[in-house]
Amino acid sequence: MIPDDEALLRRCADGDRQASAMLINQHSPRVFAIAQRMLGNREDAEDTVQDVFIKVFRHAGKWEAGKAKFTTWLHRVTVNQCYDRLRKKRETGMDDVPDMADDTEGPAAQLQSRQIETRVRKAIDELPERQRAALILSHYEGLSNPETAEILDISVEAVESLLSRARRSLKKALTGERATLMGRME
Amino acid sequence: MKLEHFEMLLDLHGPDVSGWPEADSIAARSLLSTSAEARTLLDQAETLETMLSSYTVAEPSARLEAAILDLAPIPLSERPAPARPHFLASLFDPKIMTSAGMALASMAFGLYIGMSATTPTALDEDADAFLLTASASFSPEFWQETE
Repeated sequence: MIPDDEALLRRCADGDRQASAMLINQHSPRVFAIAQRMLGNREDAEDTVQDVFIKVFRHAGKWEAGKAKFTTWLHRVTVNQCYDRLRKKRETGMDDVPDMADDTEGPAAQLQSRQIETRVRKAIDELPERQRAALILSHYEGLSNPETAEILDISVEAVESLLSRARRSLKKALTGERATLMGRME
Repeated sequence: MKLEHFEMLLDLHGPDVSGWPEADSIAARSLLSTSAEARTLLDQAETLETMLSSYTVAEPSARLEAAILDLAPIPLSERPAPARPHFLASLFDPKIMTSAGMALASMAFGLYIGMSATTPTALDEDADAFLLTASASFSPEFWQETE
């Protein structure tokens, strides 16, 4: 049986390496996925995951059982860390280095899926941050609108509005290439 | 349901019409059975979802997980004991500095009060002269002299 997050946090605060490893194992994939899609850059996402877990470890001993859901708090910290990193990048005028596609597919399939993925990623990168966050939490992480609202600290209506605008923008951005891209996918 | 409303709901909930609120879902199915435009919009929305799903991301590497684990708290027994401060450094301990500061401030204030009470100033001399004149005015001789 997998211990719940609160039990793991308590053990983690006491220096239990096994509990810390379980906590990392359970939650780092989701934190990393959100950060990669928010930042569009693997290197920044890796730094962000570490920053997020530093916060987790700092709060592990102070976590108040039953007060808030750990995953909700973790998502909020992750999104806020991404916002911070994006803001710093804007201030310093640094550009992202595009990630390389992985090499698990053959050359032709890899090229096709890479082209589609690149277009989709670019379209998502161009969304305003809040729309991007709402889309990532809702579409990619499968969270409900009330959960997304709690993480983003906004109303459910505001989440719905962000999602509508995000989907509309993406549809517009990707419509021109839809036929080409989908023809390649089929 | 009008086409514009259907499109708005597609943007809001995505193309899985069966997952929409019941009343909207029923109205949308009815519209889809009669409107080719609605079917085109649904097809576009479905394509968008498929395209979005093509955007995959990597799992955290073992190296990253190990780096995070290195940041985790270590057992109390393995934590280094807090270093004992050097004698001179302990003089600058905030508690000591606060007490010493308060004592010095009290001494300085006392000294100031003492000095102000014992050291005559030009103003004090003027005040003394005024008081002497004033007290002299109560004596009958003073008025006799002035008359």
